[in-house]
Amino acid sequence: MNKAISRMTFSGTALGAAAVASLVLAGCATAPLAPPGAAEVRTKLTSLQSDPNLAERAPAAIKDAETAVRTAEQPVSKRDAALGAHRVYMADRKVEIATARASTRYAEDQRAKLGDERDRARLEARTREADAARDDANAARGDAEAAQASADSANREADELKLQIDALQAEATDRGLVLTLGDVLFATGKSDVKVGSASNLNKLVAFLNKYPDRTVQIEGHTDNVGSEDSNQGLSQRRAESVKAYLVQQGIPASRLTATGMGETQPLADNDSQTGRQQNRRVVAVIDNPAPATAAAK
Amino acid sequence: MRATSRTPSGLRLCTAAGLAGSLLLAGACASTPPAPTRSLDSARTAVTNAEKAEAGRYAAVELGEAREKLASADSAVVAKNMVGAERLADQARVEAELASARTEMAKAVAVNKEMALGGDALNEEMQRAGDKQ
Repeated sequence: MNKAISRMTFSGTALGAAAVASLVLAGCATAPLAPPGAAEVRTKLTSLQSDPNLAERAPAAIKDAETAVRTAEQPVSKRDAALGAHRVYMADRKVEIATARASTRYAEDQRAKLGDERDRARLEARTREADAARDDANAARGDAEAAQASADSANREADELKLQIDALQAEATDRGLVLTLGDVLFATGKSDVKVGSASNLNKLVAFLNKYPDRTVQIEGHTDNVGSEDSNQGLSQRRAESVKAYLVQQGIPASRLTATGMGETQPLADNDSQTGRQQNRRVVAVIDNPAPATAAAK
Repeated sequence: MRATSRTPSGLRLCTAAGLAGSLLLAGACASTPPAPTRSLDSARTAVTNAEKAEAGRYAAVELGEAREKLASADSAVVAKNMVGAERLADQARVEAELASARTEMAKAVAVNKEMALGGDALNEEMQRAGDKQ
């Protein structure tokens, strides 16, 4: 500027030079504007400052950006266009930095919320697990009760069986229930079932009807009166006679086996009347329960 | 220039003197500021920090830009353009800072996404387990 003034005083006719100088001066003086791009950066900053999620989250960086934008908005002469562009560049990056920092902070704050949500999800999961466990426990208790009931039922059945066996006056042995049908069934040398002794046999019928899976071996025995052969035949006939009676009462023959044992297995001395009476007998051996009954337990 | 060439010779002399003066002024401007070492150092530090923060993975464009600006600043120093060097160094610094800031942001967002997925997965799994009951 000094240079222009000195030139003007140098020569009054230096019109051309003056015109050039005034042009230069005018270039400097006429409305220096904010550099291009400054307005856009301001808009960007304003949008950051009005974002409810970001505006409060990076105060230092936003303040920094604000200062840079204000600097960028300062008018610069055309000569200083490079400076203006530099300021705009700086301001733009600072707004971007502030945005990134605020977004980071926002994400971190969200994370705390996510963590809470996850904790809640975990809690719910645990609650569900606990509920499921309780349901399982209840179910298990139910099972236990059912098992108890089943056991009770089995016990009742066993009790019932015991009652039946008691009623039969049968004896539990390795071979099964041994039921000695009284020696009063038959008269000496006869194989017909005595009238009146049927009540004892009827208990057997009832028992076999109640436990249809059991089979019976019917064994006939005699005293030593008469020959061995005849006693063998007699014992066989007596056993068959009992079998026939049971079949007649509705017990399938397939469940019944009749065997004559003769005089070979006396229970008592054949010398006395009482002893011989005890030896004249038919024994029903009721087989131990079939596996089906055991499985039910 | 065309205007001056049309002016009389006396004026041409004046113009020459004026031009010489402005050249002198420009020369004085160019030689006055020393190399902007502080700006350059800040820029280098910022770029190094960004690299350490894995900006190469999360904000590669910004990091590349920062490196380019820094190289340009160094070139400007060699060319004795110290004003340009300082501006380029400052630009390199903010560009590197932006790279770091965006890297941090990308990492934070990635973590959230994973957490959200994890939460969803957990929820879903539990829902499925619940359905099975």
